Amino acid sequence: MSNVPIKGVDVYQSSSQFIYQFLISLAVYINPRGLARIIRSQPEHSATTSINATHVSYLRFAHHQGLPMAGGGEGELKLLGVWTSPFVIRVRVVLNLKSLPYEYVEENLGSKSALLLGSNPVHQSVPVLLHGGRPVNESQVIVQYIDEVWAGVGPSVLPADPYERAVARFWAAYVDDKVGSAWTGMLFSCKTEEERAEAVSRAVAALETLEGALAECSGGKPFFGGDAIGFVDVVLGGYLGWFGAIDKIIGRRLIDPARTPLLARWEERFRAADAAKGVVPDDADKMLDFLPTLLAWIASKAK
Amino acid sequence: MAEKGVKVFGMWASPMVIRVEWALRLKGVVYEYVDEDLASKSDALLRRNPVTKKVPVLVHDGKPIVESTIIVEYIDEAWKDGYPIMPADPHDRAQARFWARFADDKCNAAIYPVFTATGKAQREVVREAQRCLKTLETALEGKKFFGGDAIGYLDVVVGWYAYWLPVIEEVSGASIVTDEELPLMKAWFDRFLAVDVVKDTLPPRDKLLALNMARRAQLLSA
Repeated sequence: MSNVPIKGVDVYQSSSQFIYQFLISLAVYINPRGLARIIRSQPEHSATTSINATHVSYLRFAHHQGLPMAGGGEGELKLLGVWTSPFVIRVRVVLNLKSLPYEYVEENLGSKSALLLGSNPVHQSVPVLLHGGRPVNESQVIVQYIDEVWAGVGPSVLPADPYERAVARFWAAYVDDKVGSAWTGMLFSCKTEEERAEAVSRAVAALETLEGALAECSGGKPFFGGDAIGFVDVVLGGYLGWFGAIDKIIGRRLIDPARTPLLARWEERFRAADAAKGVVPDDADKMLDFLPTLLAWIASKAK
Repeated sequence: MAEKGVKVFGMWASPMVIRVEWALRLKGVVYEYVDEDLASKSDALLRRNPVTKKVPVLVHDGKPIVESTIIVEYIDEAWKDGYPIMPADPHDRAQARFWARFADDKCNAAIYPVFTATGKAQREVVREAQRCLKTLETALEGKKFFGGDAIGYLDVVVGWYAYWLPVIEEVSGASIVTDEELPLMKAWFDRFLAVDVVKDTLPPRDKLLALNMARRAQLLSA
């Protein structure tokens, strides 16, 4: 069997490998959950990785051939976003965690594209994930969608246990509620320095609560998700780029190693993770330069 | 000594609590219900939910779960062989979660002002509430329930509108969900309230009406 090139990627090296991988993919097609269970029960070593790699290879091959895509989902991935958005960043981190190829489209929210307006008519905001052309909106919804559709591919973002999932969802909701509203206050809705300071103190209070949550959820491990980045990690991690910029504005660190030491170490680990590279902004000046554009977009929306 | 069983900390007039009860009853789960006085919360509640201190709280074998929509998903996952609450297809699940967020964030925020608004201001807030509900209504098109032929997650999350909105309308004198403005939603209200699990769990209407009238009077005099 000759190599089958797919967009420049040679997937199969020999006929025996092809047959082996075809049988695996047949197993996936017949019983995707069974394979997912096998993958989750494997200890973290190369056997799991090779099944995952095989699975991803099958997905790419099948997509190209128009074959049914069980356990992975049919169709190309496209993400509409703005590079500074915490909500977009978290989706990109998850796509990276699962090594999912996707087309990224930087949106101009001052002049919204027809694709954005058509895909998210209710909110007209980013992120929007398009999967085979079908839109999925709301960042936490998108993250869970990716985790479910590609359940057997790469690490899981949400835990398997229902109680642990509920705890993760609770803290994720808490982050977007408390940190999110303070973030809006610190950057966009404050009209005076007093208002900004008030928002900063709300952010710091929320981060102090999250310090406790990290201690509890991680059980001494590196992330809220334990050994690996999980749901709460990506949700909070999306804000880190802006925290760096806000630190410059206010002249002190929001995640203060003296007050929230666990979170300070967590931030270093998260930023250093492969999945965060290139998507979590680390240039505070670049973000601050972009802030007037964002403020202008918000002002034009308000008209 | 492991605590066993299912307990719900709630408040009889709370729509967020009733979601949890509907979900448990759909699964046929037997639970103990603890009614809270929100003006004087019990130590048990505060111990179980120290972060937000709100109801509902579900305690399952000693473990507390909070936030009503999170609890509903938990119930679906913990009793996965029972009645299916979440849709099976991931895209349908994403849609259901999207609309649930929209309802809780946007529709509720648009509905609350109707409660205390009067006169011309009331007409404005009613129109805004109707705009939100009309957007939500698009998720009903061509279906008996948001969940399809049978009630599902989104019905459980927004179902409280079917019982509480008419009460809010009566208390405030406003007219929000009418045959002219929201025909699909009005028809869904009737179908939803006819579902056994739903109608067996509703708080008494006269009590709910009296509570809301008193609350409205209190807010207007403040």
